[in-house]
Amino acid sequence: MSDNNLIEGEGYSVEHNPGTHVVSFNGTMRLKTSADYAHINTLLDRAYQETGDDEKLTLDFRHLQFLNSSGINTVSRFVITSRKQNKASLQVLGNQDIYWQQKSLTNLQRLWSNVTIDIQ
Amino acid sequence: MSASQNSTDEVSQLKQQIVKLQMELDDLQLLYETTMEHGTSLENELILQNERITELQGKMRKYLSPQLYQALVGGQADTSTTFHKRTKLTVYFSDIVGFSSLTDSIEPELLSEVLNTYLTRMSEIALKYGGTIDKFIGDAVMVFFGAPEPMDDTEQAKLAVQMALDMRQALYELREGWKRKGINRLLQIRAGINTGICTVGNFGSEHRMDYTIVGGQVNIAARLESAADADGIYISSQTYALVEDVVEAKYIGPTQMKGIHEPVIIWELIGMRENSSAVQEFLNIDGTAMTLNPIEIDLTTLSEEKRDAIRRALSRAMTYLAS
Repeated sequence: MSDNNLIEGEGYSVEHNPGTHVVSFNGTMRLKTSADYAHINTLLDRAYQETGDDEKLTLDFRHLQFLNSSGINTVSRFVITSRKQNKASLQVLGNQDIYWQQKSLTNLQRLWSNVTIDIQ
Repeated sequence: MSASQNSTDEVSQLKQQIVKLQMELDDLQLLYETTMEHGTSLENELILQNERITELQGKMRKYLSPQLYQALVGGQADTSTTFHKRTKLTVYFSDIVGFSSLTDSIEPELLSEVLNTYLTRMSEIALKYGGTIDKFIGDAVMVFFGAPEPMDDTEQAKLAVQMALDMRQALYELREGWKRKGINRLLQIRAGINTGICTVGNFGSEHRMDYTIVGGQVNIAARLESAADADGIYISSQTYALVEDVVEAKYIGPTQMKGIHEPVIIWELIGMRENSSAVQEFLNIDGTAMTLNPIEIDLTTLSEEKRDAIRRALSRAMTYLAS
């Protein structure tokens, strides 16, 4: 896996597995502004482009304990961009033990009804 | 192309732009709402977490002395296993004579009630005097004075002996209640107190540690407790030297104790001296010299206070002579 597929910061990591088309978010993400999330947005866009038209890109948040408002804004914008491209479908995995995920991840479906949400 | 055709095309383009802008506006509206709701969700979670912390702090209070709790919650405590310091402390140990055999002879529910009532009362008294409750081991109680809040040597020794006497009195009262519940065995406390340089700090592993004390002086306090008779409180000469002007004590003498190199000079604590000025009217003790003043008694006019002062002066003189 190349370094382009892994972003590590203080207390968090985002990893794209091109083989399985899964982007995994881990730890606690609390970057200060939406601009600070730009490199994560780049990784997400590339992951989406590398996913085939009939394939599915999975965003796995099950091990993400915390995501601040700038972070959810970045993810939401990515969902809107993907909807406009309307190529691969999106799946979102969440953790029912993490309070914020129940509401905020379900809300992603409001941005694109084709997004499947699985809170485990 | 006619002017009206141009106008129709422009209108059509404008309509398309309006539809596109409307869609973008809808997206922005949704983006705003999802971000806002996410923020609300985090705020709600923050409140939940704060409630959990408050609940946890309430539980912590039961396990920690107020001094240690304040040091931890206030963020002043060093919680690493490397935190230790050597300081003078007064250490108290007690247990109930014959409690172990009682555990096999009464129902667990009654045993639990007896033990919890006893330890609750002992904790209340320890906290009243500002002692740091180190631990409970079954019916045994370990308390120390002088850490984490520093305390003057004399002050810590005085508080420790006052606490010990209060604890013994509390047990006398508790056992009356236990007798009514069918516990016929006489439960008696024995205690030991010593003052000396100890090492205080966090001992254990990074996963589980105790804020406690170690050292030879701690062992002496434990050995004094083991050596004491039932309902007796033994104090070392180091503690006695700090409280001799405020306590009544009986000299026991040097005693060799297991694991302690030098013999330990033991005093048995009798009680606190009260109204010492009233007692001094009849008795003066200055270092190794004792003076008993003439006592003239007219039983018809003798007040209760004077009778008590004479009784205590003579009692103290007897204790002094015995030592």
